[in-house]
Amino acid sequence: MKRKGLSVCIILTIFFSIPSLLLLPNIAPFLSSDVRSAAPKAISMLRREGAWIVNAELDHIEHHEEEICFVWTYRYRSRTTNSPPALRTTCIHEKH
Amino acid sequence: MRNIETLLLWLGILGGITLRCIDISVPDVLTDEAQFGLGTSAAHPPLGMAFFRAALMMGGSNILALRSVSIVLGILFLPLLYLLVREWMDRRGALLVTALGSLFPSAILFSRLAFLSMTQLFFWTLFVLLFLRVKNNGSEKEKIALFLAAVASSSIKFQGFVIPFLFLAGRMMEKRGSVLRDDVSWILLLSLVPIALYDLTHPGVLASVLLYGGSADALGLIDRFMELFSVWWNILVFAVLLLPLSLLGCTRLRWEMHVFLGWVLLQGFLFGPSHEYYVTDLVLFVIPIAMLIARSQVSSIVVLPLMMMNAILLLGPSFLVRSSWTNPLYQQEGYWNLHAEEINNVLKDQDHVIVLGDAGHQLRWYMNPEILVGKDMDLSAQTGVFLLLDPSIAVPFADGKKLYNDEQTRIIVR
Repeated sequence: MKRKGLSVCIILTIFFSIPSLLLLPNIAPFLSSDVRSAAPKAISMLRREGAWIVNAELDHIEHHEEEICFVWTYRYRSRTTNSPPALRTTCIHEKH
Repeated sequence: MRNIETLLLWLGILGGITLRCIDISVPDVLTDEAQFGLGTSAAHPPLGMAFFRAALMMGGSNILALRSVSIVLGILFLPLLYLLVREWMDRRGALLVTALGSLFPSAILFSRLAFLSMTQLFFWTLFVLLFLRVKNNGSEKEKIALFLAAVASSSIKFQGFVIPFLFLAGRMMEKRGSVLRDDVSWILLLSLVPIALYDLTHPGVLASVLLYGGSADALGLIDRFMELFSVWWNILVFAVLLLPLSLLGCTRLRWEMHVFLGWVLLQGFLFGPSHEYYVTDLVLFVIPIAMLIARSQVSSIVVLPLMMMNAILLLGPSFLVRSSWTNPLYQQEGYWNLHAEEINNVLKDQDHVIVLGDAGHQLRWYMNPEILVGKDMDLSAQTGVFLLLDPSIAVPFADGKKLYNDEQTRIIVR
């Protein structure tokens, strides 16, 4: 079959794209300008705890009445340590 | 004469391979190496870091295992380079390219360090080789291999997608009226889908593009050129003189090589001239240099010994040829390599340590306790163990008990 190569490539494209497609719902909250402006402040709060930002992964975002909370999975990794994941929350008070 | 030339070519190739394998554990693990080795850089897609993790799993958590990825790919890059230029050069010319590439200082240097640059260069070169083969009535298997090489190239560093993207654009211009019927165009387009989705769902990658794309160094145009040349000189020294000459050899290259060479020249200028790892890719300029030598009266018998001497001067065995010309990383044994064990001994009963000063990721490589980055912390009432990397910070901690003190580091408990 002459175009077998292309068919295989289409299948591989779908296969390689699946992990990212599953993460697409996580991006939806960032369509909000409030979330986008709060995100750098949330990261600064993590820094004030002495955390390494590279060890933090955003788990989900919570909207409360007057604040936006970012919930992180923090996993400290070093050459000798792979700490178990721990949840950390940084909340930004919304100005109205 | 021909026999001497052949001997020199093979000496060059083997010499370059040897230089890639020595002095591996002399320099400290650098901050970027630690990031990549610990798989914690949000700035890049995951494939390059996966290689480092695999190497550490197989070889243990040590410097040699960490840097082995670059060593292996740096060596395998050489036959790949040979195969690439064999697409249009004869065997002798291809051997000359390989010998010059083997002795090119930046290719040697970054084959010894756990940066992503050698991995990126390897997969880009593989991609270009397969692209040329597929264009030349490649088989269905080669088309699949091209797709995989394109996906791999895109998945190592944030700018990895650029070469497949530019080749897609070039191919579409070649095929103008019949693009929709062209398998190669479709394969390249499909190969960019996974990385596009990855970048969309990982904001750290886009943030890196914006950070490095001009504003980070905050340099004007002229300053960028000067910085770039300064970095090239520091790493390549005499080999840098070959770069302008190589442009004369570029005229007979096909468009694919113009794009490849043009991009590797441009990326350092675009993303930060002070980043030395971009100099790795300049090894590709040995291709037009070799083509120029082949056309001119200059014999490789003159050029090869000069390249060998340059490589040994800069990156020769440090226990034999250390001098003021030696690359700074190999001027002396790394500080952390010498002191980490003693410092860890002092900290053996501590769960965590607050670091003040330039807290690079290499601390997570060398230090056993958990490291807290003190730079943004409110330390006015903070107690605990502090690791001070900057001598000027010691004063506010005058009331603390000193556990350790050397020319670079103090440990104080408060």
